[in-house]
Amino acid sequence: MTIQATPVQSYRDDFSFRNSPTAIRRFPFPFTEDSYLYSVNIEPATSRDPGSIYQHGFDIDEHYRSEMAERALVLDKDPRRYLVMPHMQVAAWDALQMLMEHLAADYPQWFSLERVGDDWHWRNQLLAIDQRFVFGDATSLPCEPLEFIGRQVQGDFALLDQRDGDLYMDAGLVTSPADWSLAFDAGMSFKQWHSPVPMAHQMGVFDRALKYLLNLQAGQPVRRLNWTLTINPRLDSSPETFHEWGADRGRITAENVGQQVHLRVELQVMARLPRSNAVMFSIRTYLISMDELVTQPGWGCRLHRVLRDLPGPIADYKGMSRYRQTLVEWLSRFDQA
Amino acid sequence: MTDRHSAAPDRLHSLPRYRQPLPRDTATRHLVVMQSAAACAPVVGALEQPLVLNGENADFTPRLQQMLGRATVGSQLYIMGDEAFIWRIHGEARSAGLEDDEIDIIRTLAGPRLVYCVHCGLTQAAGPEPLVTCIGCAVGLEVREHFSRRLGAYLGVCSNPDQPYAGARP
Amino acid sequence: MSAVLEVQVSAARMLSPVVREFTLQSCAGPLPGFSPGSHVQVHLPLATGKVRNAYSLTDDPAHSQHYRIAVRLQDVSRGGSHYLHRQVRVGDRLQISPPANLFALHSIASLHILIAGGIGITPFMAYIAALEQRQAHFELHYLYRPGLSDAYVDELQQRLGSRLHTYTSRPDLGRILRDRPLGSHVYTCGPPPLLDAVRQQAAALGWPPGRVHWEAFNAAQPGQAFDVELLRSGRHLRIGAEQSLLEALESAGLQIPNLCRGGVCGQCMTRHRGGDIEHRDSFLSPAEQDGFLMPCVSRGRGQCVSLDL
Repeated sequence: MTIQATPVQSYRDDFSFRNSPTAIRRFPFPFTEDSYLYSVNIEPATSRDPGSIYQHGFDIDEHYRSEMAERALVLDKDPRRYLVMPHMQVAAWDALQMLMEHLAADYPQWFSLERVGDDWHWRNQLLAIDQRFVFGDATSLPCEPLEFIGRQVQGDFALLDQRDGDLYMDAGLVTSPADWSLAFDAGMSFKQWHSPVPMAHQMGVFDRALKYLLNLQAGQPVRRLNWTLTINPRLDSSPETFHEWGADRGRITAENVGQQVHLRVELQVMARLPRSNAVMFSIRTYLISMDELVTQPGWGCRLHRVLRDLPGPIADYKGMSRYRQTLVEWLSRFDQA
Repeated sequence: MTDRHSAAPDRLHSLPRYRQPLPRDTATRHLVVMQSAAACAPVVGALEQPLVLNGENADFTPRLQQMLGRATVGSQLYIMGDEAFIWRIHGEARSAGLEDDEIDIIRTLAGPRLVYCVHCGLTQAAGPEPLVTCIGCAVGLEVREHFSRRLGAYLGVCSNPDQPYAGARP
Repeated sequence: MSAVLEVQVSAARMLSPVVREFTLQSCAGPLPGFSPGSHVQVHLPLATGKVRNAYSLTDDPAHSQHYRIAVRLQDVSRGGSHYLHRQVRVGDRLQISPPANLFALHSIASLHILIAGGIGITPFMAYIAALEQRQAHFELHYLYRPGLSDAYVDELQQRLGSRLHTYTSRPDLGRILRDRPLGSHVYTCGPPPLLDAVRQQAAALGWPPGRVHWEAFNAAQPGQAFDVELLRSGRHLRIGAEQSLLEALESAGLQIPNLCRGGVCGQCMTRHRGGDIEHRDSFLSPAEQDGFLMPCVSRGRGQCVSLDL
């Protein structure tokens, strides 16, 4: 795979982000049926389909440099996107270890990790980082461990403290959320932070999901896909900046649907962190424009049916109400029925 | 392992549930913090030898710190007053080591609620109206049905992104 | 559950006449990290069949180049501890399950009160290493029989000083639990009567249940041989007196989720459709036992037990 060098593509302003044909082919189209309904839809996060997003535990793709540049922009502008409560220090180091081990093992051409006891040596050739540090000693790093590694891996991270038979969102680095705020949700329990999701509570989806996650065992991570729509390839579709991008939803026309409307799919991986017993929740976001999406056989047709028949509350929650009709009409020509 | 008990109903949804509690028989010490005499809830009469603090007293703050500092495990705290008061005391109680289960919240007074502006991070007092203008960044906010116990505040998000600064006031 | 680690006994020593400590090193690749309170299941190839016993990891979780477990010789048992005491030598290889944790530390406790009885000291050895690193407040109360079940007491005295309280008879649990600071949590591990006493005393003093944590070292006990019918496949199994139902099912090729092997964690809960069942678990309510059983410890009484498997 070729990682784009300079210039990096942008996820704001001129939105120069584009997917190569390779990226389009490996995009995780999430719909296996013509209609969408909540399910827990969790599966073991085992390696499969070489070249796909499922081959490695933490996927690095052609957008790596662009995405890391975007992350730096967000963090420098708004430090509220990073939070680690004092009792989550062990979990933060667990996360750093897990990510470094996976990246060094899966992408040895770009990352290396050498260790002698607690003296670690990490190299990231893509970002020209060469860092020696003492594992467990935050003063030996230029910044705290979760931020240090988080600035080098694609995707958001939430670290959940397991206690009192529940999970609490007590740490995270979240610069590309699909409309949720770490700063606000920090400290909430599993069902509390899922409060805004319509219909799922009555269906018992969260009871089952919580029970499952509480029993996660180290070495046996799980994953699921989540999806929504975004206008423009805007990674930072956060509530924090909603007043800047929310109006985009009202500017969709039949002429610009193909370019501006994006399917946004999150690959969520949940893993038990060994020393802290916390749960790492990684959210890896993939974006594809409608124009790019419909080049893949069957995707336009299926997406048409899913969006046409989506229950109102879910459509509202996913923020598509203002342009849903325009989008469905545009997609209808890919549906033979 | 801890004894299996079903998740407290409060945890199903982020919105706070205020209710008139029954006195907790299992607690060995009852601590009552009321915003004012008018905020007193009926349950106080049924408690055995409660320690009572009234927010109207001049030395309320140091006495609250003292009460929380001296309290021991087995204490149950009852907070009575308006929403903003309740969550201010709730935050102090949590810092002192009390868990949600050990704190009963009884809203006995009308009063302001707190709203967190997600755009600038400012938490501010607001009325019950669904719309409020942020005093920090001037964005017109919709107060959402989503509550943070840690902040003691509702989530405020730009209500009209087409005109974010149009303001809620006429 | 599915993965198995191959380890080699690199050292073994007696901590008391009835407690033997093993140091285990990996045969292939690094050992997984673990959180304090974790245990591993040791697979024991007994003459009567494969048995798995759970033992707490006693070492400092910050360093997992090796694992340490301490095994108390049990008088009444199916032979697992006898096997480990009498048969296993330094250099031998063993199979163990990866660590799992059913007895984790509470992350925001202001004070951790640890109450250990005899071999129940083992999870707390890992606890204190982690608590010291986190600079957390804790105290350890250790009840033991001198010269018999007093593993690690010298080391603990050196490390903990005044944070260690030792007893050779049941301490006044009321004194330990009364008037403790807000935010305290109590953890207890040891024989069932100690655990019951701690839980009762805590409840009587108004401790909310969520602040009381306990780990019981239960294991399957022998019983009568009995028959089992697996309704979905139609297979019939005969469970020997020394074998647990779970072990028999595993030997027959079924994969049942499990963690504690002692009837406490609820993972192996299996639906039954009748039969004369002896429930020996601490997880199911009586109502639940009408429809479910825990095969890790519970048994039939001679007649056929039908399982929805």
